[in-house]
Amino acid sequence: MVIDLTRCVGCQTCAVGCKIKNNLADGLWWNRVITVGGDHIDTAGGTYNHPMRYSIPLNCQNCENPICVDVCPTGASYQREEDNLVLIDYDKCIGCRACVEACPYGVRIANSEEPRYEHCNVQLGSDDVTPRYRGVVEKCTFCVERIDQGLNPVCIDVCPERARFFGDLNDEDSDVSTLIRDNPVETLHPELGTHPSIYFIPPNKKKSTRTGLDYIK
Amino acid sequence: MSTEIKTFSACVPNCWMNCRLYAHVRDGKLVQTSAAPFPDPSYNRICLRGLTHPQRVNSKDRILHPMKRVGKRGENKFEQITWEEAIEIFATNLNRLREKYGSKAVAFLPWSGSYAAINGGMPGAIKRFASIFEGTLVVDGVDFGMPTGISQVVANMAGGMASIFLGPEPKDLSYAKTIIFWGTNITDSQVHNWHFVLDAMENGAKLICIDPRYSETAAKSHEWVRVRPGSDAILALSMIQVIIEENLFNRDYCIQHTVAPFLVRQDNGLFLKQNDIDGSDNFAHLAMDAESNVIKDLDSISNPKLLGTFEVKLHNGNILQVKTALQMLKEEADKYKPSEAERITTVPAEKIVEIARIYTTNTPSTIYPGFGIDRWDNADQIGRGIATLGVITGQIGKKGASPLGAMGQSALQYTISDKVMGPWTAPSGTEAELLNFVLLQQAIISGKVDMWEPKDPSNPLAGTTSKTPVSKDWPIKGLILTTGNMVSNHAEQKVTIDEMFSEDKLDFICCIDMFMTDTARQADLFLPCTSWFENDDIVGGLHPYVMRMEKAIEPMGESKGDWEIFKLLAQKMGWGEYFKGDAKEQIDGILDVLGNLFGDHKDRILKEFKENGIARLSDPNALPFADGVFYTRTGRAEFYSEGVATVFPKSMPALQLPVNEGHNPLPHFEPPAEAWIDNPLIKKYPLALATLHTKWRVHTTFYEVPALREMDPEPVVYLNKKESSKRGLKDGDYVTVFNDRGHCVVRLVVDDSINDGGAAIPKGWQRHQFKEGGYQELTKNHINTVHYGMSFFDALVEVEKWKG
Repeated sequence: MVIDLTRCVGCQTCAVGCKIKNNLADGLWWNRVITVGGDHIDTAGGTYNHPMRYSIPLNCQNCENPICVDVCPTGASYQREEDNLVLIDYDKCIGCRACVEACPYGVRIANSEEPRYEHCNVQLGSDDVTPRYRGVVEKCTFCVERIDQGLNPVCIDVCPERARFFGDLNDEDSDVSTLIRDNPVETLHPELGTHPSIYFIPPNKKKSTRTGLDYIK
Repeated sequence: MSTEIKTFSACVPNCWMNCRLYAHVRDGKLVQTSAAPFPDPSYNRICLRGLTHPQRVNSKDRILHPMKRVGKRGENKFEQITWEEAIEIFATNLNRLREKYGSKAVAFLPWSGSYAAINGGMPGAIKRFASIFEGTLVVDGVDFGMPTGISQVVANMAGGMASIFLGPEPKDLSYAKTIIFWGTNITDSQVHNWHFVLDAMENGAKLICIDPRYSETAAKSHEWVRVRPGSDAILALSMIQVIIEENLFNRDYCIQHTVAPFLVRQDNGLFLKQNDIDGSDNFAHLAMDAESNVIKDLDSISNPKLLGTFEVKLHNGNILQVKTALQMLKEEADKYKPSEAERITTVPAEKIVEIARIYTTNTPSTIYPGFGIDRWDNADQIGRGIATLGVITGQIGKKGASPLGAMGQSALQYTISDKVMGPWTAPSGTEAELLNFVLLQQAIISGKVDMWEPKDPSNPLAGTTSKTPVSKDWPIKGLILTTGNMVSNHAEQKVTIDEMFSEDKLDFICCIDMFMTDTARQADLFLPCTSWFENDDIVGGLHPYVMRMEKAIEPMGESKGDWEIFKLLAQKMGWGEYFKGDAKEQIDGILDVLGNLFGDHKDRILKEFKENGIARLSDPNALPFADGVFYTRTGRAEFYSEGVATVFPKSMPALQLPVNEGHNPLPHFEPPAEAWIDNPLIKKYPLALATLHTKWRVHTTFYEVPALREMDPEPVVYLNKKESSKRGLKDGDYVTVFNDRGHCVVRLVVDDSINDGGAAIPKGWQRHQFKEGGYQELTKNHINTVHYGMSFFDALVEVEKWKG
C-alpha cells in the first residue's frame, strides 16, 4: 500500500469502512487514523501562532519480516507464500498475545471476552469474512477475501481524497511502485527491520519559497 | 464470495454531498453500504457516516411502532399504539385545529434531514399534504445569512440561497489557481469536494484559509489567516480597499458587467437616470464620459470614468452631486485600510495586502465561503463583501473563478424549487402559506409575526409600506415535523422547549422520525419512519445528478415512509385522490416535471435515468455568469444596489427594501448582535461560542451511531491553553459552559487551534447525551429582518469548572 499523507485529511472513512465490512465488535478497530499534533484526536500541536497537525492511517503493516509470525508459538500467525500477506488462522490461535506484545505498530487486538455488538443484532459486512470469537487475536487482513477476487481492500475504495493506493510492489509499473519511485516515501519504524509493505508519502504542501538570490541588493 | 445483493440507493442528509450508494443486503437485512458509481467517476463518494447506515438501520434504539404520549409533554413517556389509532389521532387533531383556528394554524415543518423528493423534505409528501390542507409551511431560516449577501450582488431579483445554486459545480475547483476558504472547513464538512482542491494543488494552486480556528482545512492550506470572529466584513472591505487603491480591479469587467460606472445621486442614493436630467420616459443609466467630460447614457460611452465625484444639473434645475458607484465603494472601503482593519480583525496589515494581491494576480481565483461566516446577525455583509471581491476583479463566470463557492449546478435546485415542483407539491390547486423558520418562534409564542408588507405585492421593487416590518396575526397551534430535529437545531433551546413547545402554546405536535431525538421526546404523537433503504425515491443531489433510490429492504418493524404516512392521513381526511399509489409510482411523474425544464435534453435525461438510475441535469459546460449578465435589477453585478433584497415574505423577484429608505446599498460592517468586543456583555461572558459542523454528524443525523461514538464518545468544548489556564481548567475537566440563556456540562479539550476569546462545541449532540443541559441553550435567535438566517455563532459564553 501507499498512503499519501498530503492528501489524507483524517476523515476516518477508511477506519469505519473496515469496521463495518469486517463486522468488528464494539471497541475493536483494525484501522485507526491517528492525529499527529495534539494529545487528542483532531487537536493541534506546535504553538498558538504556528500550530501543526496531520493524520496517519494505521493498520497492519503487512511486514515482509513480521515479528508477530516469528513469536507465534502455534503457527497461527503465518505469512502467505504467494504474496507475503500476514494472516491469522483462528483455529490455531490460543490467544497467548505474544504477537500483540511483539507488534511494534500496535495493530493486533486480543478478544479477551466474547465480541459485543450492543446496539444491533445483525451480522454486518461481508459474510465471506471469518467471524472471530473469544480467545483469538485479530487484525487487518488487507481484506484477503477481496484481494483474492482481484478487488481492492475496502479502505482503498472508500477514501474520499483518493489518498490510499494498493497494488503489486513487485510490478514496477503498478501505481504503488510508481508512487514509491516518484515520491520521498517513508515506512514506520524502519530501524526494526520489519520491512512494512505500507509506504507513506509524508505530508507536504507544495510551496514556492523565496530565499537568497531573491533578496540580494 | 460474499452472498450480499447490491441495489442502488443514496445517503441524503444535510451535508450537501448526496452520495450515490450501493445497499448490500443479505437475508433481507442491510449489512453494508459502499459507493456506487456516478457517470463522472470524480463524483464517486462515501464517507465515515454513510458507511454506518447498517448500524443505524438495524439499531435496537430505533423506534419501530407508532407511539402516543402519556403523561406530560416532554416527559418522554410513550405508549405503543396501532397505525389505525395513530392516523385517527392525527386526523382528529388536524380537523379540530382547523375548525377552531383555521388551517393556517397548523404548521408543517419538513427540513433538510432528507433530500429525497417523495419521502424526504425536498419537496416531500409532507409539503404535498400541507398544500392540500392549506396549512402553514415553515421554510428557510437557516443558511440564509451569508448567501443572501452574495445574492444581493449577483442575484438580488431572487435573493436568499439563489447564489449558492448559481455557483459552478464542485469539479470547477480543480481549475482554480487561488482558492480562499472563508468560514468553512470543507475537509470535515464537505469532505467530497476536497479532492477537487487536491487536483488544483497538483496544478500549483495556492490555498488560503480564513478561519478563527486552525482547522483541518487550515492545516492543509498554504496560508492560514486567523480572523476575529464576526469581523470578516472588515477584512473583505480592506481587501477591496487594497484592490481599488493598487488598481488591481478589472477595469473592463467593471465597465461592462458591474454598476461601477453608474452615477449615484447623493441626495437619495439611487442611480442617476436620463429621466432625472430631462424628465423623459427614458430611464437609461448615466455615466461620466472620460473623453468629453459629459454625463450621458452609459451605453453611448466607450470610456466611462470609474472613480470620481461630479455635478449634474437635474430636470428641475437643481445642481446635484453624484459619485460613481465604484467611488461609493471606495469611500466605504477606505474606512478599513489594512492598518485599521488589523486593529479590529487582528489580521496583520501586510497579510491583508498580500492576500488581496494574490487573489487578483494568481488567477483564476475562487472564494469558497461557508457557514462559519453565516451564523451571524451581520452575515449578509460578509456575503456582499465576498461577492464584491469577485465581481470587481472579474473573478466570476470563468473556469476556476467564482466567489460563490462551488456547490452550484445542482439537481437539488430544481427539486426544491416551488416553481418547478409546483404541480407535484400542490396537486389540488390550493397552497400552504409560507412562514420563515426564524419567525416560527414569534408565531407560536405570541400568535403574531413581524413581516415586511410590500407596497404592491405584484411589484416587489416598489418597496414596503413602512420602514420596519409590520405585525400580522399568525397563530400556530399545531406542529407537524418530519426530516428534522428542530428542538435540537433551533437557537435558544430553553425558549424552544419551555415556551414554543409548552402545552399552553402548541395543542398538538406530531413528530415523524427513526429515533427518540430531542424533538421526538416533545411530541404528542410519534410516527416511525423508514430509512433511505426502505423506500423507492428520487433525489436531486447538491451535485449535477438526479438519482433513483431503490427499495433495498422492507420497512423495518411498523415503520412507514412519509408518502405512506401522509397517504393514510389524506385518505382519512377525504383527500385520497391526491395520494394514489405508492412512492415508486411518483418517480416518473417527478422526473417528467424535471425533464421538461431541459428542453432538448429531456429525452436524454429520461433515458439515462431509466437505464442507469442516474442522470445529469445540467450541462457540464454550463458556467453561470459566463455571459456577464446578472440576475439583478440592473442586469449588472450590484455591489451597490438601489434595493436590498429580503427573503420574507417569499416572492419572486425578492422583495426589495429601498436604499432611499435607510437600507444600506453597499457592503459594510455592522457589529455582531452579541459576540463582539464592544458589547458590555463581553465582560461577563468573554468567549464567542462556535457550535461546529464536524465529520462526526450531519447536524444531528448520526448522533446515535455506535461506531462513531467510539471515536467521539461525548460532548466536548475546545478552549486554548491560555483561556483554560486563565480559568484554572485542565484538559479532561468537566466544565459548565453558560450564559444568561442556559448551560451545558461537557468535557474540556485543551487545544491551541482555538482562538483567544473563543470556545467551540461540535454540534449535533442530543440533550440526553449531556451530563446537564445542552449546547443549544446558549445560542440566540437574533431575528435579522434582511436575511432571516439563524445566527447561532453570535453568542457569548463563559466556562468554569463543573461543580457536579
